[in-house]
Amino acid sequence: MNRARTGLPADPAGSGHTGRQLVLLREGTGRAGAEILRNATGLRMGLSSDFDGSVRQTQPAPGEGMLFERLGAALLHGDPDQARALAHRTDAQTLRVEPERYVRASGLAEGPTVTSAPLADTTLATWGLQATRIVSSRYAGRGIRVAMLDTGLDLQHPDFAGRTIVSQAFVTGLPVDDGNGHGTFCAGVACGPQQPSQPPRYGIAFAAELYIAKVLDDHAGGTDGNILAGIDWAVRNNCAVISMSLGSPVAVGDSYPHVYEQVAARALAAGSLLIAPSGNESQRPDTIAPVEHPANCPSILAIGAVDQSFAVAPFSNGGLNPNGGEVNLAAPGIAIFSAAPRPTLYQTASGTSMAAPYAAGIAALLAEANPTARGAALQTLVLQSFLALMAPARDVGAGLVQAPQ
Amino acid sequence: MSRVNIAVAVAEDARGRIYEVAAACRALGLEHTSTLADVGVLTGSVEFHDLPKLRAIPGILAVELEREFRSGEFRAGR
Repeated sequence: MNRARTGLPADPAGSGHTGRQLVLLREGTGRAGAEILRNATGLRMGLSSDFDGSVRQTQPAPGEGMLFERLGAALLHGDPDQARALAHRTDAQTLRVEPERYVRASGLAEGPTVTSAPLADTTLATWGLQATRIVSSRYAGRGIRVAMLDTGLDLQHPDFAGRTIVSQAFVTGLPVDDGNGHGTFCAGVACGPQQPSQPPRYGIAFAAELYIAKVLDDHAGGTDGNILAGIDWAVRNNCAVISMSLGSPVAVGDSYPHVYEQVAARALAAGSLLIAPSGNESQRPDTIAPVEHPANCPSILAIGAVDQSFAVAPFSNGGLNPNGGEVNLAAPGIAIFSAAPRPTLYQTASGTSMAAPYAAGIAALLAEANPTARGAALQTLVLQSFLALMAPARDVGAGLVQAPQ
Repeated sequence: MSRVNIAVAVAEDARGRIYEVAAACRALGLEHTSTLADVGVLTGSVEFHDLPKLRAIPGILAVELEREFRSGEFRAGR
């Protein structure tokens, strides 16, 4: 961004913020958002559709704001107090107010930006690790127990050699060993090694202690009884993070299940944070399915998926239901590279199942960085660790989850 | 009558006596599979027509039929 041309102030404090404010409006607010923001802030509001789309013309001068009505967002260039007042409004149209950040043309070294070219895997790290700022993080999940509730793990996979792994099978008649691949993949994303036997690096919390609960059979199916038993086991073992890439579809209008919500609330109170995928039932742009069970519980974090350009993945479910049915955060979920059971060792896959372990791995890093933050406190930290995206909160929640540095 | 698998959430103020609650459920027909004391849940199976009786037991917060889950299937990688 050319600061002279846009009239932006320098960034003497090095905050990374421009002094302008981004406002996310509720879906469907449309052009009415201009009047709402004008009344709320006193700024002169323009509509981006009234211009030809050039950067110069859509950049608001001091005292002005610009509504990008097709995006459901606005950029305000006014007194920060006005924006702060807006953030405290409780009307239904204003969903979120964020300080605008400076972005760079190449985000790879400095972290991702919302205007970069699509990210790609390099010999150093997968695109997902770049997007979530894993490689530059000083944290590795040291001393943190992370439970993976899934199809198990290839316990002899070379990338997990030497790791602390505690495992338990909750599927009758099956060992913990992963006969499907889903569990090994998800464990790889959340807790894979810093230096895998074959590059690139694909895992996040490489020093975390792994608690592997096989709650899904080798066809990747399971029941409440197995999953609740797995959660109970993880809580009993003081796992700070419980990642469960599983779900069951719900309909628009469905409420969350009370048993799971009680379990999740009790897990939080005991110091365990539950994370689940939003689900893969959407076929965008035509059909958006609601966040599935159990991610639709208010006490469980629901994670949607984005691609290498930070666009919402076409299959990623959205926050259509209230009271827990919202997407909380987004994470990489397209063309994700991770571990596979021997002899394959590695594979690339897409899904919100791949996105949820990103949030789980980052939660482990945050838990290491904040030793007293567990349960609800850790959940709050995770929810505060994001890069705002130009996508509806319905689909990506607060934004793209980011690692602590 | 059909037998159904269920999960039972024990109310917060009854978690300290979860084994008594489990015994009351068994007396009303619950074939008790497990007690998940750390999260306050009982699992098992019961005749469908006995569900209202279970829900009326003091100390029970919710009784729900068991769901089936699956992981998100792998999708084409790239």
